[in-house]
Amino acid sequence: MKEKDLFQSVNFESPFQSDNRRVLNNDDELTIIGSSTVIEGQENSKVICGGNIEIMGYIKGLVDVAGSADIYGTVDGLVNAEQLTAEKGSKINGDINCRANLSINGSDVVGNIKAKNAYVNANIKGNIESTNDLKIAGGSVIEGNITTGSISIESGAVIVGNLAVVKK
Amino acid sequence: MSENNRNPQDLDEILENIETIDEVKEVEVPLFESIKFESPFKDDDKNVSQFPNPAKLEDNDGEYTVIGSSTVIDSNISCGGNIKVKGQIKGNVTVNGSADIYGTIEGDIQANDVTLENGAKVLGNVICKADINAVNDSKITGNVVAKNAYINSHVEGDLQILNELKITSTASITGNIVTGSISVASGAVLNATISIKR
Repeated sequence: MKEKDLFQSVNFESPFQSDNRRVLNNDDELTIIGSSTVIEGQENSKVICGGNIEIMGYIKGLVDVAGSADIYGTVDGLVNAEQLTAEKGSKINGDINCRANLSINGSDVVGNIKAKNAYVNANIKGNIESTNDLKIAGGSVIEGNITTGSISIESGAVIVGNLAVVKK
Repeated sequence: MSENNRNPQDLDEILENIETIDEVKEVEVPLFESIKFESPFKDDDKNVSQFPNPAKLEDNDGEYTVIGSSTVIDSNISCGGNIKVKGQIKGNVTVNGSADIYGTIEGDIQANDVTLENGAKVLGNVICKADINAVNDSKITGNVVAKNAYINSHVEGDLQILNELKITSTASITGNIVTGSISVASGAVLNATISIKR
């Protein structure tokens, strides 16, 4: 009986309240925000995704993605992702922090961008910081300062701002 | 592999190539011919107006929004199509079409149809224009308003059903029930006041 009492007294559940909201890192998982879907309306509104996300609709608030984020729609807020692709017609009003490769192709970005490697063919109002390689295509209009490890700029690109290429 | 169809994994290789090209520059290879200004990522030719991964969706009729199982959203969601929630949402969910809930929602749900699958939890009111289907082991803590309801799970709250309410043997309901007609299977646990109005 004593043994039974002992095991009944031990709580095998996690003592942390937040544990059931823990985000798992799930590589294969895909979250899709459809084109008519709007996510907004709370202070500190946020979307935290342990897998990958495709955004065709609108999100207002922080978007934190463990995997890759493909953006076709609009995001009003900070975006953190391992890998980020912003496609034609997309809009990002907020900073982008990309841990690996960033590709912005035909979208509008208002905010500062940080990435390891970046390909930019877009209108960007904000600073770009790339730790490794930055490619700027001819259709780009960039208003902001650029700091990068290496850069290539195609003729036709418009850049208003300081440029620093720092080899690391 | 064509130059236009690179994988992001190949980026290191691409960077190596670019560096070697820089070295070769002394042999007067024109710089800009040596660099491709196309996006190095293979997904770039996706058609924006189409679902990029239709095979991953179970239903292609109309638009689907999918909240993956490791996704947590602290915000309200309104959706013109249908929604599948496998993750967790803290906020109200408004859907024009159907809502399939496998995860957890802390907030009110408004939809045409609502289906709660195994393990789904709703902390809030559920308002359906048509039917609600609450299957095994799902739990609703809040009021339910619907045209028809099939309850095979736990409900703590009032049920307002316009037409037909079916309660199966594994259901447990705590609250007041107002319905057009009712059928209760033996074994169901009811701690409720029931009024049937035609």
